[in-house]
Amino acid sequence: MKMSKTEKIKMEKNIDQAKLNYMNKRSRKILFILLLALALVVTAVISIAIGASSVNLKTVIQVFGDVFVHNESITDMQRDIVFSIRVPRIITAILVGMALSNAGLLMQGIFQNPLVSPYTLGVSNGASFGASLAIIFGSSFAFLNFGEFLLPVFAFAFSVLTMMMVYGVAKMSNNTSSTLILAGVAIGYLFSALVSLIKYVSDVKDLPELVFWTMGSLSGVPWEGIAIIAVALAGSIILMMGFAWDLNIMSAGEETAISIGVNYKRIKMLSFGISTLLTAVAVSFTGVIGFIGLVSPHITKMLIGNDYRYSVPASSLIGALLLLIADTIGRNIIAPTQLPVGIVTSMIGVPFFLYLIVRKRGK
Amino acid sequence: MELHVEDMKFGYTKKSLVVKGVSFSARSGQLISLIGPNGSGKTTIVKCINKILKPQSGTVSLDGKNVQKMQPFEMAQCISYVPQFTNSYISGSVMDIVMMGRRPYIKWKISEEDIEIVLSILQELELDHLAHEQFQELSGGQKQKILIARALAQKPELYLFDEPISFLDIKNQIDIMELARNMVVKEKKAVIMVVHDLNMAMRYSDQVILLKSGEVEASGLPKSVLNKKHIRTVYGVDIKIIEDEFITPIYEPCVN
Repeated sequence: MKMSKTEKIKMEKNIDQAKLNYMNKRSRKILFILLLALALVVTAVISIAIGASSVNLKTVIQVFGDVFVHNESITDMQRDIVFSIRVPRIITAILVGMALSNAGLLMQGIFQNPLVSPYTLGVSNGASFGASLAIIFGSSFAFLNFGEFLLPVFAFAFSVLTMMMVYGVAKMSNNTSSTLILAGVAIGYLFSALVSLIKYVSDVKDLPELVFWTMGSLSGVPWEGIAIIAVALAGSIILMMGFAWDLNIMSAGEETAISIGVNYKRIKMLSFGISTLLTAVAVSFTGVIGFIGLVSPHITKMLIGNDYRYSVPASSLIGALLLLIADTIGRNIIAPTQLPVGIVTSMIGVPFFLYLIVRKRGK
Repeated sequence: MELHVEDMKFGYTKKSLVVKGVSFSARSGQLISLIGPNGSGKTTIVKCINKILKPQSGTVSLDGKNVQKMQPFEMAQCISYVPQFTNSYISGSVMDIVMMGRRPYIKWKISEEDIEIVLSILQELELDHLAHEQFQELSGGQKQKILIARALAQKPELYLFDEPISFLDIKNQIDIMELARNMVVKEKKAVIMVVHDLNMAMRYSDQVILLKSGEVEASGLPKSVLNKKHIRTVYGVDIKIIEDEFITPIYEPCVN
């Protein structure tokens, strides 16, 4: 059918309008990400300024100013509270929130299952077993000379070992998503039982540390640990952004992805590796912090959609915000006692998450 | 464009073959229908052509090049595939879904040209009003058309359609078959389509390949393949063919 000149002009006009709409939509997403980044900065500043000790926003600004121009009114204790306690803790919250959120985003994408979290495949159970070995039998491993890093090294090693076992078992079968999940759940239970066994045979005085570790805590992470998490996170985000298009297409299923030219197996393995790395480094230094890796990807998808080019930065920022807010509440709500962050993430995250689900269904 | 499938064999287990030495050719300007009962190997053949599955033996070549040796994006620029089922997890706007078809041409940033290509495809298929709708909220017929739009966005020479009309109403069935026919006649593309509807295959195909238990029972012009004897052999069903000199024959199963 030959198109008349008027029809052609009309068609071109429609395409221009649709193009404009599409580009506006992209700009709105970028603006939303920038707003999230701004919100994170503001939250971080507020979080630094509040706490059990009497270091307020003014003092924090003075302490930071003191780095450049010496201020005699700043005490060593104030410097310590800001630089050795609050700043590392806030940076840890931001990095771990980002790591768990992105690990969840990847896992839900690979398995095409919204119920999957970074812990579904048993990483946290493996890490808990490693941590309990380090806590309860630490003196027996003194010859390794890991010092204060014994616990994170053990937790990390057993996280990775768990993943290798899960993947190995799944590969012996047909390596589908469901066999991976089933293998993960089963091996997770195995490590959970081993942790219980260690608790059962261990000395009562060692138990509180182990229980506290399994609730997750952002305090006391050394700067070296923060650097390790930061490097793993930066590398992972770069890779995820680089393969964003392929990850988008993989949500359409394996067959479609292959037919559009995606190297499905390679990207799946890579995603699996990144997710394991992010979860393992986070858990190793902070213990098991639940909920962020499950809920943050959902909130991201509800707010900005599924396109990984936008959802990776958005999910990083949302994960960081959630964990930072949860930790700030946890260390202030019944100060000077601090609530474990894992409890707070669930208590504030669940109602918010349910509200988003109800709002979405309502629409 | 010329596709040659030579002695293709494939089995999901080592013991039993689903495709047992199938050979055929397709070229630009041809619509070929793969017909046969459930489990006769139609979908498996299509997936082997597209490298979703790797044949145990035999070759698939496109313009003399073995598809197994083609790079993923190179192949995606030559062959596109519309699957039988849409993934329930897939989400995003119609634009996002169709834009996926541009992946073989996109490094990372979407160019204005890519947006224009996607929008003009949607406009040609009269789907532009759905551009910003959520894919999961569309009807079955609309979804199927969007998946075809995504295949069109790949700008390939060969289209593989796996049962594109099985779950659609008569209007959408005709729309999609007309679309496939237009791609063959006007654009000089090749289409290989898995289809169950004998009437649609007869009306729209240039060639029909009739499969039985992973083997080609008959192939050639629709009228010569879709006769009572072949249908009886392959499906075990007697049919009545209503035919006069003006219309395409109509197949009607005889039910006792």
